[in-house]
Amino acid sequence: MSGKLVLVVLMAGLLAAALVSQGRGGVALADGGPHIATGSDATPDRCASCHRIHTAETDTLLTSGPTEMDFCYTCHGTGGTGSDLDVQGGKQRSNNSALRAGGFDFASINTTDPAPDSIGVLGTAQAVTSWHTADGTTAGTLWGNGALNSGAGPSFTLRCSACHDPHGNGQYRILRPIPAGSGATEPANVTDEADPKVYSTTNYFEPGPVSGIQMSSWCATCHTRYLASSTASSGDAIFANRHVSDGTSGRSCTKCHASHGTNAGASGTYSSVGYPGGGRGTTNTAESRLLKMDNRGICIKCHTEVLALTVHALEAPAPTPAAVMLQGDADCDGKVNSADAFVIVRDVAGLNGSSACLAAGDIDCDGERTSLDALGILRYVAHLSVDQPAGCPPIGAARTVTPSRGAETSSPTVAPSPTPEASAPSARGATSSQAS
Amino acid sequence: MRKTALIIGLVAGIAVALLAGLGTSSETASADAGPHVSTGSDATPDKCASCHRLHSGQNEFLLKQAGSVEDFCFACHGNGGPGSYLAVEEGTSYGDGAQGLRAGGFEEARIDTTDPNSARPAPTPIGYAVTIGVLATKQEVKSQHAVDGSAGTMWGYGVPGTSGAGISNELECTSCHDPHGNGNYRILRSVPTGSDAAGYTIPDTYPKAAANYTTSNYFNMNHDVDGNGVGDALPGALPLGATPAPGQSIFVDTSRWCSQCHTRYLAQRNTVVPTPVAGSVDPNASRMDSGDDIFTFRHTSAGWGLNSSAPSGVPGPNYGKATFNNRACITCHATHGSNASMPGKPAASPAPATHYSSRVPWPDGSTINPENDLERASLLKMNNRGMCKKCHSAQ
Repeated sequence: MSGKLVLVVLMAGLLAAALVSQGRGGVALADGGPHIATGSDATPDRCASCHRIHTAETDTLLTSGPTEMDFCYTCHGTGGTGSDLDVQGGKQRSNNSALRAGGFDFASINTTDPAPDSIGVLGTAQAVTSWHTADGTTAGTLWGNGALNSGAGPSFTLRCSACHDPHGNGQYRILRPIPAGSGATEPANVTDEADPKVYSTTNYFEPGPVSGIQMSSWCATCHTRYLASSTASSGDAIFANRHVSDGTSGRSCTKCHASHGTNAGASGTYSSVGYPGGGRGTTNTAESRLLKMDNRGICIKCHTEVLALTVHALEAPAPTPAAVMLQGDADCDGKVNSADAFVIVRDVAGLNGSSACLAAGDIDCDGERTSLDALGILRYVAHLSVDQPAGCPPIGAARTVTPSRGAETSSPTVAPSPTPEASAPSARGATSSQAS
Repeated sequence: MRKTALIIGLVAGIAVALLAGLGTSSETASADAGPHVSTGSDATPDKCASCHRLHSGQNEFLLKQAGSVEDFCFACHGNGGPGSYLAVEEGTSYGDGAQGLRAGGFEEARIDTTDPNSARPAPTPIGYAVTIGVLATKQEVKSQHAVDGSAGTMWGYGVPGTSGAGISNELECTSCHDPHGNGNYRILRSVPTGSDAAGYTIPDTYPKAAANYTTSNYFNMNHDVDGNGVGDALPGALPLGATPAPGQSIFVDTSRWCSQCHTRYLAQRNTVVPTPVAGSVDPNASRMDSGDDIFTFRHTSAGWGLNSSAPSGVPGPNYGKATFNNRACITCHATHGSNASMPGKPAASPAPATHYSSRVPWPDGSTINPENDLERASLLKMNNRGMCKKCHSAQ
């Protein structure tokens, strides 16, 4: 047997080992399988799952090509065998469930679901009508990227690894804190969900176990001028007035958009709206803009009945889990109560839940969650004083956490109340009784 | 009659029929069709994007074009009807040639403001002798509801006895109409923005044929029930001593709706021949002391009276004395705007020249040009307060 044959056999063995390690038939985690989370493991046995150091077929030393997307699809494609997650077909193979982000070729979003608070899942996937073109060869537009009045956005050729870090990074869905090509200078960290991770959904209207605030900030590293906390003028000629999208009260990017691709149509008269700054897509369906409902039906998922210009259904904060990360709200339900203390105690005991807001349980800002944090929350619930160091956000205030270093910042404004405020009594409410 | 009693500012939307076809179909579309979404029952409406851009809006309402709400509405409902048959800017419908919109327009209107036809005193046979015709050529309006968002006065706001003549208000198209649709007549808001009223809903049960958005007679504001293209008879005798139900009379409904803002203008006829008792106060009755310092005695405006003398089942109109079913806000006023002016009477017809109509002050006593204000027209449909003689022809 020649040395070359030995090498081939060895590589085949390594590949087989890598596939086994991903748990075929089981759920492969973003930071598990071949995707290395940290460099602390001196013998990771993962590099060779993707790379050939001397016999690679791409410039990034991948085992196959020709494009990066082709390579990713060897595991995550419809015919892939290396991962449970088929991002090409928008499916999770093991249970034939629908991926939350849709797929790049197919998706299973029930884009005509009339239910007011949910978007269901189709039994049969449909071809997508719009998707993030991540093939690494097609030039697209990074809509809204850049400073004010810098045009609609620069040209950009997207690839899978522009958004995801294939080597793992401990972030939600191994998203890069600074996507490649974004031009961002500040990282946008997205807290990973606790194990077991859930990649599929039964309701596309729920953006998943992730902070909407963090998710929108991340999207905005590329789509800079889409991020808005109010409809006030931004000063930009194109992206002048924007719907709130910063994740507050559930109004995050992923609330309306499927990040990989959608099967929603936009063939209606009005829904073919043209691109920012002018120009139209080549087909009506390409106007679907990754939206989850046909013909902009996503609008009336929230704006349901009487849509007075001065009365928006979303003025009251929506009870979307993790949409607002409050100091002490460890279970992401938008409230600080004894349940949060319970979540922290379980976390301390090693009984992890699936909350993305565990970091908010560190109410004394000492960098770790302990039983003292749980006690502090219980005191808060009981309206007793809580000792917190200076600079630490008070319980109930908005809090942004950057988990990679444990550093955090707090908003100077208190987050919206978990419950809608009652309308202020009218000063002139009785004046028209004569007319009625 | 006090001079102020005729100044009834209307905030109705009688002619804002918002068409769906955006100028491509000959069918008349109702206000809740087209881009104006009625309810959330349609999961995939394809309407939101007709007006809004979620990330590239050009004003705080996320509308796709910059400018005021009025500017945006006129993008469809402006001159020439670029997106709707109903060109409310110029008071014209293009659904079947250029016809006059019932409510007039905000910049031009087609009201024949000198039409000499009028009612005659009893025993004029029951019929619709009174007319205000339609001009073939539109004319510039002299008064209109200023819906450009600028500050105006909501005349008569507040219950009788309220201090002052009204409150300041910044009116926009959307103050009265709900652009998202609401199932109401002319998508009128149940509670006009700025009124803080308890609310009055005009049901969308009146006929919506094309003739109901336009008119051949600005005096007859009733609807075309039989579909022959003209407004039909006034509703039959309304309940005696009981409040008409919504949907029973467009006159009653619109007067109630208008008075959510112009509260103190609403007055109903309580007696056939009013016999005010010295010192007595009735805030609801016409020609009785309302108890208000400014809007003290008012002409009937409710489109209905408690003691109607009309025999049951006999429709009007005897505009002279007998019934009250037509004496509504919209009987005299064009809700969007009127081309009527107040030039006064020339010296030769007969001498001397007079300028009474152009010297009527606003309810608060203020004037623009106290000597001769041609535009002091108050949305009235006839020049020089000629509306009065449409009914009071023998007086």
